[in-house]
Amino acid sequence: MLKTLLRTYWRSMIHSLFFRDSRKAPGRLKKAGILLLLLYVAGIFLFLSGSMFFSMARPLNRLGLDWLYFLLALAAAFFLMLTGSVFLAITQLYEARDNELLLSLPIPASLILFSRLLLLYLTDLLYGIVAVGPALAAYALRIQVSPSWLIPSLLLYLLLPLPVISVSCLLGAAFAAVGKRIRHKTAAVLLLWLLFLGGYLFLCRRLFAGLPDLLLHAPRIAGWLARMLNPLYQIGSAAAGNLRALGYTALAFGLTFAAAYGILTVTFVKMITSNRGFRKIKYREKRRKRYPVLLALMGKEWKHFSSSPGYMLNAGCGIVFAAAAGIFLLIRQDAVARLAGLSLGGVSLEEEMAGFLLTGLCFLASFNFISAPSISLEGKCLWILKSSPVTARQILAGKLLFHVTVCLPALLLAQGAVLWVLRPSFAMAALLLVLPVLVLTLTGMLGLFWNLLFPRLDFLSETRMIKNSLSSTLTVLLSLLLSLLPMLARQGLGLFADWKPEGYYALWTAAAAAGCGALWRWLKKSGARRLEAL
Amino acid sequence: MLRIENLTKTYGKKKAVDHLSLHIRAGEIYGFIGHNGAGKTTTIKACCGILQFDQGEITVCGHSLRREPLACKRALAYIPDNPDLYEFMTGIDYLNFIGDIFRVPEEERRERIRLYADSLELKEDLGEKISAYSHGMKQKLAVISAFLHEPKLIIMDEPFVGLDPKASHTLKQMMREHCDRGGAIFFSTHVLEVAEKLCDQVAIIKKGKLVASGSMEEVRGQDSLEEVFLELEGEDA
Repeated sequence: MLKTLLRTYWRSMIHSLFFRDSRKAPGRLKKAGILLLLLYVAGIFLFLSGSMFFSMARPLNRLGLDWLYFLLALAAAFFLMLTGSVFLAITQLYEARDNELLLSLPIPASLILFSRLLLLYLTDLLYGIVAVGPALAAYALRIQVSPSWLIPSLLLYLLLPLPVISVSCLLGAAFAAVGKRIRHKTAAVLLLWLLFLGGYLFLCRRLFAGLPDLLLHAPRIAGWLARMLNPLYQIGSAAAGNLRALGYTALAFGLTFAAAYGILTVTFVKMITSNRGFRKIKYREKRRKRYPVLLALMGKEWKHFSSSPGYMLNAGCGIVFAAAAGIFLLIRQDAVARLAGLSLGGVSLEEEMAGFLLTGLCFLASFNFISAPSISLEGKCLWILKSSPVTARQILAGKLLFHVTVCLPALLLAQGAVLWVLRPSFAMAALLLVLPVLVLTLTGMLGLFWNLLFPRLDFLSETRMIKNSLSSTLTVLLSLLLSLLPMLARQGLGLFADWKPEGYYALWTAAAAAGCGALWRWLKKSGARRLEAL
Repeated sequence: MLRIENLTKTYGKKKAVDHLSLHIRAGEIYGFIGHNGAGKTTTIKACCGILQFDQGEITVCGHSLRREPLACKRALAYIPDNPDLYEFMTGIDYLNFIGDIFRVPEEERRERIRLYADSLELKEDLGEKISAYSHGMKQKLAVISAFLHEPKLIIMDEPFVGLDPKASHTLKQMMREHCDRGGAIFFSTHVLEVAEKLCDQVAIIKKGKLVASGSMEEVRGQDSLEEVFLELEGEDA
C-alpha cells in the first residue's frame, strides 16, 4: 500500500513537471530541456555553496577545527531544509487536496502520514544536498578523502531530515491550527512569513558579514560552542568521525523524530478533519458601482492574489524586497556614498554607481512572477472566462496590467529613494524611472508567454503550481538574467565600455521597449489563440 | 434562438458528436437526454464557446459562434454540471464580477441579486467565501449568476444536481418564467421525469448522434419518456 501511495505522489510530481496537460505526453526534447534547466539551477546553487566551503575547508582544518567545518555544512543544510519544508509541510500534510479522498479509502491514517513524511524526507534530502554535497566535495579536494569522515558525514546527512521534519511538521501544525481559527488567515500567514524572512535575512547578513570574523576568531568561537552549546559540538564531531558522538547524535535525532511522529499520529486525523468554523458573516446589501471589464478582470486577479499566501509570498516577494530596499536606502543614505568609494575590477564604482543602482532596480522589478502561473491558476474555473463575453486579449491584458499595477508602487518607492539619494542627471533620472518599469512589464509578459506555452490546468496543489511550475521557473530565471545582462555585458565583457552610462542604458531601454512590443504582439495574436484553445 | 447545424467534434479518433443538428426557439425549454459519454456536455460546451469544434455551425440569436463569439456569449449564460467557481471570492463578489463582465447596470443588478438570492434562499450567505459553500450553494450561486444578466438563452448541464427539492422547484419556476418572457433554455438531464414535466421539446443523443427529437408528445407518443429512452438505448445492444 505504501508503495502505491508513493507511486501516486511520484506520478503527480512527474506529471506536474513534465506534462503540459493530462492528455498529451511530453516529447523527448521537452523532457531533456526541463532536465537541463533543473541541472542548470542546481549547478548555480552548488557553485555558490561550493565556493563558500572551498574557502573555509583549509583554514579550519589547519586550526584542527574540522568538526566546526562539518557543523557549518550541516547547519546550512538544516536551514535550507527547514526553509523549504515548513510551508511544504502545511500544503502536503494538512491542506493536501487529496487528504479526504485518501481517508475515505481503506488506508490506515498512520500510513498516509508516513507516506507524506517520507516524501518530505526525500524533499529535504534534495534541499540538503545543495549545502552538504559541495561541502563534502570541497573537503575531499582541499584536505583528504577518507571513510573516517565521509561515512559519518553521509550518515548524518541522511539523518538530518529527521529533526527538520519534526520541527517543520510541528510548526506547520501550529500554522494550520491557527489558520483554522482565524478569519484573516492570509494576513496572519503573510505576517508570519515576513517575520520568518526578516529573521532569515538577518541571520544570512550576519553570517556573510561575519564569515571573515568567523575564520579569524574560529578557535574562540569553537571553544565557546563546545562549552556553551555542547550538542552542536557533538554533531560536528560526529561528522568529523567521532563514533561516540555519532551514536549520541543519531539517538538524539531519532528520539526527536519519534516524539514528533508520536504527536503527529495522535493529532493528524483530528487536524485534517476538524472544522471549527467561524461565526457566519451575514450579508448586508451595499451600493457598488459598475466597473469596466478590464478593471473587473484585474479585481478578480487581485482577489485571487490577496487570498492566497502561497501566491503572494512566492510570486510577489519582489514587492517586499523593493519596498525594503527603498526604505533601507532612505534610512541609510550613506550606504551609497560608501559604495561609491570602492572600486571593482579597476572600475571606480562612483562612475558606475547610477548603472549599478539601475541594475539593482531592474533586478527588483524582475523578481516578481505573478503573471507566470496566472493562466494555470484559472484551473477548473476557466469556463467562467471562456463563456463570458470577454476576448482572450482582454483576459491577457487584465493579467498583465494586474502584474504591473501590484508591483509598481513598491518599485516606485525604490526608484524614488534612488533618485533622492543619487541626484542623477536628467537623462539618467529618466532611465532610472523608465527601464525598471519596462523590465517589470517584460517580466509580466514573459510570465504569460511561458504560461501559455506550458499551461497546467489540472493541478492538485496551488502552491506547488505557483512555486514549481515550468512557467514560473523559466520566467524567474530568464527575467533575472535579462535584468542583470546590461551590467554583466558592460562590466564583465567590456561591451560599450567607452560609452557614457546614459547612452549605454538608453540602448538597453530601447531594447527592453522593443522586447515588450514584440512580446505583446505575440500575446495579442498567437497567445490569444492559445488561450482560446485551452 | 440557438441553431446547431451538423456539429461534429472529435477527440483523437473518437467522434464525440457526429453531425448533430438542433434548433431551439424562443420560449422553449429544450431537454437534451443521453447516457453517460453520449456527447451532451461536449455539445453544450461547444454551444457556449468553451470548446472548439471541428465541423458545423452554431448560431445564437442569429450570430455565428465562430465569427461573432462575443455577441453570442453576451446573449447566453451557461451553468456547468460541476459548479467550479472562484473559491477565493465571496458569493457577492462573484455576482458583482459577473455583473461587471456582462455590464449589468448597478440598480438592476442589485434588484436581480435580491430577487434571485431571496428565491433560492442564498441571500444571507452571499457575504461568505465560496470555498465555504456546499455543492448545492455553489449550484444556486451559478444559477443566480446565469439569470443576473438576463440572457436570452440559458444553457445548463445537469442543473438540478445538488439542489434541494425546494431549490429545484424554484429553479423550474425560474426556467418557465424565463421562457414565458421570450427566452429559451437548453439543458441536459438524466432525470427523465423532470424532462417529461418541464420540457417543451426534447432531443435524445446516442454515441454522438441524434436519435430522436421533437416536441415531448412527438418523441414519447403513448409511452413514457423513460420507455422511449430505454428502447432507443437498447436498439443496437
